[in-house]
Amino acid sequence: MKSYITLTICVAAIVVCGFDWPQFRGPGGISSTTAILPTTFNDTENVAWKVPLPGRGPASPIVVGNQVIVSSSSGDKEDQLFVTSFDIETGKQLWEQRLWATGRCFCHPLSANAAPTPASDGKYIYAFYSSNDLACIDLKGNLIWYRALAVDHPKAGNDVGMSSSITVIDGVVIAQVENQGDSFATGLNCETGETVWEIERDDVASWASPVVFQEPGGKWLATLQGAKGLSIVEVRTGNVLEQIEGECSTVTSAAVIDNMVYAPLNGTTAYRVSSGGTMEKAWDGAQIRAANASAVVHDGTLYTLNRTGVLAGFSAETGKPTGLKLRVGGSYWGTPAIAGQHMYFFAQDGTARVVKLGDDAEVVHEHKFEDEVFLCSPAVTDQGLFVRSDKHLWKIADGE
Amino acid sequence: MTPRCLACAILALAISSGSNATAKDAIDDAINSVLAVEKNGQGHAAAAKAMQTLRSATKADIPRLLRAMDKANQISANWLRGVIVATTQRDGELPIQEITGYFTDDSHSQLGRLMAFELLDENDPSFGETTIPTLVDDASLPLRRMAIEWHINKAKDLDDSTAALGILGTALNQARDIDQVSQIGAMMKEKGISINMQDQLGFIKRWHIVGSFDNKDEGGFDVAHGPEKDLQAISLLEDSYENTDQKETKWFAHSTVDPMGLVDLTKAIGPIKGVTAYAYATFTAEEAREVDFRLGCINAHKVWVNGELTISNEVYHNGISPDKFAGQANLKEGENIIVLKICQNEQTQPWAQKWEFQLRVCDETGKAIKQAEVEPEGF
Repeated sequence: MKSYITLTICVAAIVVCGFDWPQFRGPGGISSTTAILPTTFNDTENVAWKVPLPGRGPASPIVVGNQVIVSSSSGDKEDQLFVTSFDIETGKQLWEQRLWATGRCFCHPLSANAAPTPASDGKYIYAFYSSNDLACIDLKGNLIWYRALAVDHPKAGNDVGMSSSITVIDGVVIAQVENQGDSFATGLNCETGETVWEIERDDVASWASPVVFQEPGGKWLATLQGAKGLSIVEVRTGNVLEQIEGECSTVTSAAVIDNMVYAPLNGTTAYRVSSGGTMEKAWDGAQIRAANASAVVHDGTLYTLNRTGVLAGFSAETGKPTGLKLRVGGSYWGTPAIAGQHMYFFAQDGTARVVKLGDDAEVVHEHKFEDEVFLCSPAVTDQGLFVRSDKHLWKIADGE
Repeated sequence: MTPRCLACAILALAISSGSNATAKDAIDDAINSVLAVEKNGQGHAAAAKAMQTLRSATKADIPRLLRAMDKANQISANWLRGVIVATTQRDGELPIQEITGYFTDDSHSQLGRLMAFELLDENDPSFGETTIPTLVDDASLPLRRMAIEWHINKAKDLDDSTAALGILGTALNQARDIDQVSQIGAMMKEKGISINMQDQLGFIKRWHIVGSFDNKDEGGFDVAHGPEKDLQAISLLEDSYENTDQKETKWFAHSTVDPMGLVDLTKAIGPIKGVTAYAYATFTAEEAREVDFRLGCINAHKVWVNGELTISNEVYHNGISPDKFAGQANLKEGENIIVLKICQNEQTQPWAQKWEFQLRVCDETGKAIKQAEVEPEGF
């Protein structure tokens, strides 16, 4: 029990302090860090390293200690699954694990089976795929356990491709599988992969990802988004503590910081989390709508990006517009990330853009990478920016 | 060596042998725990514990891990693969001879053989280069696919059209994946040989269709409309029903000329929304046997074979591709009755207007099952 508590505290420290980038859109799903990174780069300038990947995938890289970890899929049937770890300093491959997909591998040609981003609790890596295969791997590349959720739920699948990323906290890894065939959310034991809880969900497709947060009393909770509303569940039990009806995004995901949950519900609704997990609405804004990229929260501002590539800013405290409305341009599937006072965008056509934030916000850098397709959300740490294309994993860092 | 030293050496050897035997036993026990995993997380706690033991496996243990694949289900196969992959990244030499022996014996698990092939090819890429061309009829479909690809590329490189057609003919007979069969068909057509893709892949092309019945608010999927009253009745085609307009509707014959057997109900019946149609076909089997029914359908659907529900999915506008859904059924010798139910919903988006299906009959590898009589009565 002692080691369990220690592990939990360590996990909390990792998530709160954000030294790593352990999951989709980083700690709290806010997609931001205070790190200072280069604001200009191209195919060679400020590129610390670039390494080939064994397959494709919109899945974003995660950073755990000295490792950058990426999941990929390949094969004519998208049934070859990979998890690959690279040394953060050199880009050298440290280990690779491989699996065979057991579930439905159909997906849109632009997407891939490796669409959900892996997650880590600092001890293990949890890799999840559109085919509902879930593997737990230690930081040396040893498979700890594997679950074939598609064998348990044969009709669970979305042939556009599923992309809801997993999250992990408090000894439980959470997967959300929402589709027309058989929808569920489940919490699995981090050490064994056994089911801790499972709840039925509406049979409506959703690609949004759960986000975990801690209520003031110390209990870990998770958001589950569905087309009909937002659910708040207890991580350890799966008990639904809140069911908030409304028009909830099935594409973009919530962000959590400083006891505030910013949910893409009825536009955007901000909730203050009270002791016991009660959600008190702080503000709502029907006009605050993100397109494919989720909202980013940084330094008191909530940023959204619409379909035409216009970046808008809103006060995270009140929801009122900050006056920021900047045409960034481009078409994005991934969520941009903020490092320091700059926001980094990676577009489907291979173009990267950097926006300097503040009163005089502007696009300060643009570069089209040669023959690359970016679908992921970049990971940013004080070590650098990590972004994966359909072919490569890149590290962007100063002075290289 | 003094007698005392000799005794010490023998004792040390005995302890070492005992220790090795114990380690081997522990690994065998751990493998057995992994082989016991089942769906819903059953056996996972014991298997996760066993994985700690398997972290001490060495490359010398890979042959028995491969042999364990022969007893694995699709879940435990991935656990074992994870052990093998991690083991290969440790120091030591691969037992090439034993792994080769496992690979060449196709009575072993096809996943295990695929794993063995990957190990041998990564160890020495010339292994793949020389072996792949010989795998054109391999029991492992991924390995066979590699061989077919090799044959396709070989044919592309040949200026001699007759020789190229010979290679393509071999590849066509052994190919099982639809994309490869299509590619070979297109290459042969360029060289003057037309392949009937419907027959090559086993698509059913002659149907009787009736519609339309109610599916408003997607409420018709579990409603047994008229044609479901007796799915095995031979008189089915003589029946008439009341459609959604309260008018009499009857079965009508419909043939598809689409190479992939696609039946477009928006053309056969009309671009109607919130409705259900039924399709009927017979399949005359040369012998009683189990077959795969493979369906491409973008609408909610059910498939009955001789009255037995074989495929059922209440999924709308979620992409279409051949073989997207599959079910196994036992055919009886002679005539078998196939009935499809295809439900269209009321989504208004431009991408949600299709109402179509394609069905083929094949063996578990994807090879078309030929009918005893190609022309059923009624055409």
